[in-house]
Amino acid sequence: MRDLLKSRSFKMLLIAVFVVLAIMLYSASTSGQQNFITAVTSFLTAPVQKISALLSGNINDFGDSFTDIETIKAENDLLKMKARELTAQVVDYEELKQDNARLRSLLELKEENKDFQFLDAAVISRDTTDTYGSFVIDRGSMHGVSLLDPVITEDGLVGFVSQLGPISSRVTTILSPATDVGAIDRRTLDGGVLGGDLELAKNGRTKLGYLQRDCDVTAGDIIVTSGLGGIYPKNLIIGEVAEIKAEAQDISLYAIITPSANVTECTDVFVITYFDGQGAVVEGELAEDGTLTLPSLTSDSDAEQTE
Amino acid sequence: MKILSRVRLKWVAYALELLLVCIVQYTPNLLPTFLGVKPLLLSVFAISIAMFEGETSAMWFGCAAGILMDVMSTSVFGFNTIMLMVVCYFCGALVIFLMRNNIVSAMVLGVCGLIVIEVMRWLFFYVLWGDAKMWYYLYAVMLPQVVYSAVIMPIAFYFNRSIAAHLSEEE
Repeated sequence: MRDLLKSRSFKMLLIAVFVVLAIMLYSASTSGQQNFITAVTSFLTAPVQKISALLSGNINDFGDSFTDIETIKAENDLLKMKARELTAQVVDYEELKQDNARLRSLLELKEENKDFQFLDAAVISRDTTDTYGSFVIDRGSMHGVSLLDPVITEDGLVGFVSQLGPISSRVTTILSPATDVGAIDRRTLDGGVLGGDLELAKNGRTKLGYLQRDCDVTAGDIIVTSGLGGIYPKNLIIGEVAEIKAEAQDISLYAIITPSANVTECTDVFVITYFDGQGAVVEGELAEDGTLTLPSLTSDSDAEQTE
Repeated sequence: MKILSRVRLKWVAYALELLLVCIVQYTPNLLPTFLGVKPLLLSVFAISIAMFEGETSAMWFGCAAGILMDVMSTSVFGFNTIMLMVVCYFCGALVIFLMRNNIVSAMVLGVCGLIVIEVMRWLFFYVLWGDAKMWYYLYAVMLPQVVYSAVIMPIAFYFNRSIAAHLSEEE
């Protein structure tokens, strides 16, 4: 066993570790852009992931239809064949209905915000090591996606594009502490900064921090984006206030938010590739090498001045 | 010549296995969650391959599994590659020099390997950054993830044992 440390294979391990460490440091210095290995691998894996995501959806659909058929079979054997056909039709109908509802919501959103330019995308992989539910979509710079583009579903905000590749992009969700979204209570107009928390993220919730002590935010209020910062457009629905709590470190309050969108399980999303005022404040903070620097936190008065 | 082709076939089988496991691990909504976490299939399968292939080959398979994990995950590129490379190297070496190659060893190496990787992840991504929720991560994320992944170890062990047995050089 002692000879192992003097062996050729151990030296090889050390060399390999140093090589990967060098790539790691290079990769860390260019956050926001995929490195060479990631870009090449994602070119190879993205189509396979797309197919597997599709198959996964079909397996789930098949599982649902199977359950239905089993129930009907128990009730009436004679109607088994008919039930299978009907179940298949219902699955198709439900899919169409869901698509219809999704597109209708999108159309409404588009009518309300004529400046928005959307790009539909499918979730092709989810990071199992990330508690904040980050995922990869099948759209990249070749399709017109840019770094920091907001990602939504028909129900509300999901996150932003945090890593850009040619044919796929990584989305950091609103459950992540890396997200700093200026948000306001639609009823009271009290403002805060939305940023995730590990414990809340595990339950699919996020947090609206930096609320004034005397704010009027209550459970059930709807939280929307403020539009400050130029990353997210104004009035995108984020979610509903579930609870208000006091911060342990300072005198401010924070609200626990239940996102309107199903952030951890969504399979189809939309990327907002353009909206009026996009990049208004962050322009210049995004370095040429793709280094991502999100805008620093600002108080309400600072924000108003900026606006 | 026949032996060489069998060995090549074994490498291809392992490579395809890792690719398939990667797809299963990262396909959205495919694997069921346990206490809010999903298993680290790639780590488990890489460790079980390491147990049959000696330290040098184990290192390269660990490297391949790590690259796949790094490509798919949000953490800094290279972390999983280094961790799996080192863990698989020592798992391969331990089976040759110290341990018997059986299911008990597989469970011990699997759990220890996963704990080493996850503790390092915890240290580098939570403790060093002074994350307020670092202890929460330890018991609410890391522990269930290690337990859930370890449950898969016997499947990975017997699966790779059958590949190694059918496509080994001796036959």
